Amino acid sequence: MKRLETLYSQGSHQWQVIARDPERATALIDTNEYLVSHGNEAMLTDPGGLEIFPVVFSALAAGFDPRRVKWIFASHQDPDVISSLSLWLEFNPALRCYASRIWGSFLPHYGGDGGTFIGLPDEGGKIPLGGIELDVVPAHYLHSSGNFHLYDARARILFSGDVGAALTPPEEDALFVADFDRHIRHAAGFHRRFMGSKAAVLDWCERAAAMEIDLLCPQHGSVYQGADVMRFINWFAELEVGSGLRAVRPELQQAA
Amino acid sequence: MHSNIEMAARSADLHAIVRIGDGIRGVVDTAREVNLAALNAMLSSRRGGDNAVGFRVASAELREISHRLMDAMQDLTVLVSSMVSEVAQRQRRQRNHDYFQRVEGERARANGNLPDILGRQEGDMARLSALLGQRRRALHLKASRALRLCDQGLTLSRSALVEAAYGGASAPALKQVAEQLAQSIRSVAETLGRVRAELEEAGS
Ligand SMILES: [Fe+2]
Ligand SMILES: [Fe+2]
Repeated sequence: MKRLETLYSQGSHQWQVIARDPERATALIDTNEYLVSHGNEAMLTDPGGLEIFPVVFSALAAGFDPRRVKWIFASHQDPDVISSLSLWLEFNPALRCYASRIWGSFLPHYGGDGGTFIGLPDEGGKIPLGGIELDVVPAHYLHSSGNFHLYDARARILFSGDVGAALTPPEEDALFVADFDRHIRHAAGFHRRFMGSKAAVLDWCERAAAMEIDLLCPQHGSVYQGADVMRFINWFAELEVGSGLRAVRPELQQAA
Repeated sequence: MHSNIEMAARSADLHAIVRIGDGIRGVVDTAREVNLAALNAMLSSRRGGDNAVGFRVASAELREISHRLMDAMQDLTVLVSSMVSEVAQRQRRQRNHDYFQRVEGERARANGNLPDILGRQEGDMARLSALLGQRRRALHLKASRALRLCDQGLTLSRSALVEAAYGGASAPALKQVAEQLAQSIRSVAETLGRVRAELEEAGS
């Protein structure tokens, strides 16, 4: 069973995470859903796939009034990110969903209509939440070609979608990264294969390094905190990505 | 938890509709054959002269029946395509209902307004089921009417067979055409019978 846990709380401003589901169907990748709330409004990041909707909803609604969730933030178009959309809309047809503008005609395959989606421009920007603003941070090609992260300057938290994601075995499946070197082994293969562009990686790392981040919150696996955030950024900047291409063209191994 | 068996049971509806649709297309094809054969019969009977006038009349009426069969199949096709979309809608409601039913915990169910949501979904499903029942009955009625047309067609093809004997030199050819017509109509009737049985089974 998933649980709602608090990552940050300052007055009415909160970050909570619905994480860890040991009973998840094994064929499905486990996901973290973050609930950012301020005042009367809340935004749910990458609400997840259809199949895990019941556990996500159970966990969320057990500790929070789900009617306060006014917004969904979809970092990108993957099924593990947003295929539960039709069910969230069934619960609340007035929900609005942020996502890259390039997915405007793709996402309605999961549900919703023209009124549901708010297309984000490539350069990102600010989006309102209960009287404050959150920053939409471009992260294109990491891995999706229309990809955004969400930064909260008050809480100093960056929701980083698939960046920082780790596929951890259950025994190392803690909420926070405990031992960076141990943890990152479970992230390496995924980042090499899913991230396709070194230029995109470096560009992101440069911007991320300049941001004040206490918690780096990926969609899969443990949350990075404190010094591990910078450790991750440095590790990522050094990583050779695009391994799928190199599998097909071994001569590129040297070039990269 | 949902099971594949349950999903298979639900998609059985869709499979039944597909079979009904196939049947209808089969009937249209055969009715078209009847139409052509009857036209040929009329033309051949000209060569039989005045003696074949009875054969000619029977063939003309058979053509009329084949037209009416094709029209009836047109109506059936329209009904079937609405049924496909309604079955799909009902399946979607059912699937969403299953997901919401899997939400656990007293508090979560209350906070999430689950009784309302589940009730609304059940209402929608009941409405769609009632609508599908109506469609099924309408299809059954139309299939039965088409079967009565086939009965008339068979009677006509029998009298065409009798009349063929008066065709003089053309008699063997006319007889053959009459037999072919009877054969085609029997095949239409058989297909329609299957469609009707399918509908009765789906309704049970
Ligand atoms: Fe992804
Ligand atoms: Fe993902």
